[in-house]
Order: sequence, then structure tokens, then C-alpha cells
Amino acid sequence: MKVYRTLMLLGIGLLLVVSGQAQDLRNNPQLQERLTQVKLREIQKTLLLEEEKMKALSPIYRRYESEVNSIHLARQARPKGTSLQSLSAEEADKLVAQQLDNAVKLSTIRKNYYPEFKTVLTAQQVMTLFKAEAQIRRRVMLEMRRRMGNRAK
Amino acid sequence: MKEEFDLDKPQKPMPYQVPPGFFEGITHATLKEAKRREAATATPKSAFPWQIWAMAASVAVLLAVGYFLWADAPTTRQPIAKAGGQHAPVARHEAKPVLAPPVTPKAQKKIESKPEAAMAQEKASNREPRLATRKLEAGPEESLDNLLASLSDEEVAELAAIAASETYVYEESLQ
Repeated sequence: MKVYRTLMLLGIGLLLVVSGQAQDLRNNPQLQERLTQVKLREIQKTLLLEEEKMKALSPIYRRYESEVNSIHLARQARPKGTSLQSLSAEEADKLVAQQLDNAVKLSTIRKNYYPEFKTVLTAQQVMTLFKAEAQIRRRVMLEMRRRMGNRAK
Repeated sequence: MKEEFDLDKPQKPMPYQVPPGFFEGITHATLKEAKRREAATATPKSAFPWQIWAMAASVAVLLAVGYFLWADAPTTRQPIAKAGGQHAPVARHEAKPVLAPPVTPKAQKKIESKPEAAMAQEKASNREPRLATRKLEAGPEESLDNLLASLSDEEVAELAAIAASETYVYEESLQ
């Protein structure tokens, strides 16, 4: 009996570790690649870019996207199921500092890549690209809300 | 008159006899025997016998192999909704055609002397890029809606958290 219990605990532990890793975006390069592909396609659609321009833009955007992702994936998220009110003052302070730090980093990346984007796109198009990205983010959040709504029903 | 009982005066002869020195050595003999029995019956006990370790290891190996197979497998999930007006895969331009190695003057002479070999080489150099291009063209043309529909709740939640943090960070300055 004791043997089975130990085995079961070991198995559950392993499953938790494996499933925890599988759900993590940083351990899923395939999903990251799919996302980048989709973003590039959406940008092409929004900016009405020809293949020639996409050929030039794609490598720059991929590098930019990879740098942005590295910041997002490195951040320490708030533990699941915890509300802002449940955080201690120290934890909240750490999170705010990290968010502000990330804001600076992300802005720096965009600022650094702006001249590179301008070698392919006009300034107006770069602005539209950033707006297209924002639109994608909004759609992701809408999808999340839709699923949460479905779950609540 | 009642006669007083005197232990020193044996009334009747005792029917049992005790070996000489029995009571002096009984404690020592009992403890010795107990030790002997304990040593004979005791088995080495460990919290985790090897069978448990073997089973746990096999479960771990199975899980690890399964995970890596799953992680390396190409995604086979079909999109739930098919959105119209899709564009060609953006990665197509990144296809680098596989070209045949450059022909050296020495090899050129050989080719000239052997027209059949030259034809075969020409065929090979023509075939390879075509195959590479076809492989990329067959890739899925996934839209954002299709991608989102194919993701699990946890994955969408993670993406939404990232999106929300960027909204907090950046979007106010975009307006």
C-alpha cells in the first residue's frame, strides 16, 4: 500500500512538472513561431504590403519580436489566483518596479528598431505597424474575455 | 496447638529439581538468546526498495520521452474556423533554394565528354529548388482567429497577460 502511495505521489509530481513546462510559452518555440507568422501576416494585411516589402521587413521584424519576447518571457508574473489586494507591500513594490523597468526596455527596443523599420516602411507605416500589433493584443484579450465569459455561463 | 510453619524444615521432598547455577545465569542466557533471535529475523529495511526506484525511473523515462516526442512533433491541430482573404505564408521568401555545387573546369570537361551525366546533373539542379519551394508553399496559412481558436485556455491566458502588460506599458503613448 505504501509502495503504491509513494509511486502515485511520484507520478503526480512528475506530471505536474511536465505539464507545467508544457503550458509555458517560453518552452514552446513552435507556438512562438506560429505567433510571429500570424503577426507578420496581419501586418502585411493591414499595411497592404507587397511580397517584396515583406521580404525586407520580415527578418527585421523577427529580430524585433524576439527581443520583445525575451523581455516578456523573463518577467515574473503574479502567481495565478492571487489578486492585487492579496500581495504584500514588498511584492507589489517589486512588481511595479519590474513593470516600469520593462516599459523602459520595450520602449528602447522600439526606439532602436524604428530606424531599421524605416529602411523598409514609411514613418506612417511604422505607426500603423505598431497599431496593428496593438490590435492583435486587443484581439487576444478579447478572446480571453470571451472564454472567461463562456466558462462563467 | 497449631504448629508453626518453618521453611527451613522440609516437610516433603520436592518432586522437581533445578540444575545447579540455573538462577544465577538465567538473565544472561535470556538476553543472549533474545539477541540471537533478533539478529536472525532482522532484514535490512530501507524507505525505498529498489523496485520502487525502478518503477519511478521507468515512469519518469516514459513521461520524458512522451514529452519530447510531443514537443518535437509538428503541430497537427486543424484550425477550427477558416477565415477568408488569407495571404500567402510570409516565410516563403526565406526559402533558400538548394543549389547544385559549382561546376569546376575539370568537371565541365567530364560533363562535355559525358552528355548523359551532364543531363543528370542539370536535372538534379533543377529538381532540388523546386522541391524546397513546394515544401514551404504547403505550409499552413494560419490567421489570428484560427491560431487563437486552436490554443488552450492556459496559452490564451498567458498571451492575454503579456498583451495586457504591453497595453499598460505602451498603448497609451500610441494614441
